Amino acid sequence: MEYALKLENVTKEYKDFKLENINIALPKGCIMGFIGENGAGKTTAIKLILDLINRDDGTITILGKDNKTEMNSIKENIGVVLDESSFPENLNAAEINNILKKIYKTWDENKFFNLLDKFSILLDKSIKDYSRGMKMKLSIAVSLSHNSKILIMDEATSGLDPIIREEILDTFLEFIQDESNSIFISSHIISDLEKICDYITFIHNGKIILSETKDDLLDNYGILKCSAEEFKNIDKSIIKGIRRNKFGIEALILKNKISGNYVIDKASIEDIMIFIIKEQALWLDLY
Amino acid sequence: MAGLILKDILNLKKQAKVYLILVIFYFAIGVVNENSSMFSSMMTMVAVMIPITAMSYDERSKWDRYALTMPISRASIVVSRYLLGVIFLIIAYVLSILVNMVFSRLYTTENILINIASLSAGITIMSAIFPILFKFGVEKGRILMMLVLFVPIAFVAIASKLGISMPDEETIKSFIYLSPIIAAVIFLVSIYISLSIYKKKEF
Amino acid sequence: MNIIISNFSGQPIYEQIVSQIKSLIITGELNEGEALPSMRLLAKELRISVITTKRAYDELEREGFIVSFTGKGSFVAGKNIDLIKEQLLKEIENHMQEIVKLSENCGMELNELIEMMTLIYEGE
Repeated sequence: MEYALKLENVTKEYKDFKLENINIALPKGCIMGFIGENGAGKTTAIKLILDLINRDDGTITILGKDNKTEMNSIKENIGVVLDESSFPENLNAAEINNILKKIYKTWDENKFFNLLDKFSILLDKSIKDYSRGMKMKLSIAVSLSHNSKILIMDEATSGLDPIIREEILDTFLEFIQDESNSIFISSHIISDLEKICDYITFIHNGKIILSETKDDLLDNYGILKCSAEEFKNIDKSIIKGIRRNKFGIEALILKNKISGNYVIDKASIEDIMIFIIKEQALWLDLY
Repeated sequence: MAGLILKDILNLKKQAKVYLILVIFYFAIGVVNENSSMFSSMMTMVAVMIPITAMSYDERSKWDRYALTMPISRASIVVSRYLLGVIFLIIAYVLSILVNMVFSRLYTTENILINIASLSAGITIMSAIFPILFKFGVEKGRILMMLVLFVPIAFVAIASKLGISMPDEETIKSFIYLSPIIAAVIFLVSIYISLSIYKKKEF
Repeated sequence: MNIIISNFSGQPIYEQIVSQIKSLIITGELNEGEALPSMRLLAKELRISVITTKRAYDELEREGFIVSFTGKGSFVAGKNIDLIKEQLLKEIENHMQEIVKLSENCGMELNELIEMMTLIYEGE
């Protein structure tokens, strides 16, 4: 199996935060959603992947190449979108095209202009007059206009209205039609990722809590709703998270392992994340 | 590298009008006073400010962090800034000479010396400031930058107060003719320092 | 060709795809040798994961309904459709025999049975 992105036992320590033993494997041709609350370590992980910061331990390979020693040979193939538009504010799209033409050997001017047209971005408007949505669309257009084989994106859709988000997600699905292309995208807007991702990886407090196919998550988890009494009889090993309210209990469970007549709702990815994180917090409190 | 320089020039195109006005203004003063030393030194200051302003814009938009994900080496980012400064310092130098030549009465030894001194001073100032900017960024480095500019001035002021006599004219002349070489050496050392600072920098 | 999936039916999505394609093949809407949409195109259009469509296609291939060639795509297999139909009819017959037996046990009349069957069929 070829991996577009692989992190093995990656660790990075800061004074008050630690990214520990991060293991991520994204097979080629797939989209992986990287989910976590603000401050969980998503951006740090992405900076480690892009060699913007140094790791303390572990290995990272992008498209099969080591991200430190062989990075230069693959930068043409990495499309990056970070959560702010990173172009100096007085430039416009036409000028950016001329600049990037000289930076990327595989720069495709026609493709860039077509994408800008599709996103309704004017060529002579200065970046400082762009709305946030336009800035993101520009970054995405750039990332698709050279020979990118993997898109690495940090919060590419936050702060955007639903219409634009839909446009952008469509563009990603178009990108992935070529099965040698892959996408790694972090977000805290889980509903977006739920639509298009093949794999979901949760990170919380610097640790990977789970990394599975979206289908497995949606097929295996469910939300059990019952009374406190009934709850006592449930096999504790299938419970992954609990929420008590005044009138009963909601629990995240492995729904295929329970027998009997219970109310079990579908669990969305967001539900799963919230229940698991709260449960983790509970354990931390106990210690 | 060409792409990076193009970026800075295109981004600063708005400032170009301001610079043009400055050029004309000090040119006029120079002609009126028959003394082009102001012109020379102001052009040098403008030239040094250009890469610093470019860096400031880049810092605001977090360009460096993004650029490093492109096929651009850390070294070329560092070198492109020095190159930008050098290009404009040379333009400033050439302009000063042209100004002196056009008005032949301004073409004195004194003015030639001032031109050379300005160029060397510009290179030296740039070399002193850039490592600070690479290490701390433009916003945080601003204060340090002022200090660096302040020190030589303070030094001269204090020296004269202490009654340390200025070297004689011949010595100063020889020093000025030599200064480009000294400036070049300082320049290379500065690049070396900046490269090692930037190589380790985390974004 | 129409494929309609429901996110809320409780039935895993890949299963829905499998059964819909199966019935398209059995009813003859998809003919022998006809090309199926690529896994990726199906995933994109239905807005689901490519892993889901791959799973569906793998299952269809396992059961002999389609064949996949790397680089070329997936095609309806040359399996004898009549044979499949016959197998399904056999299965329905078996289930019916069971139902009749059960109805005898609780004293249900034929017309009550038909009424129940009608309700269920139309409820689908």
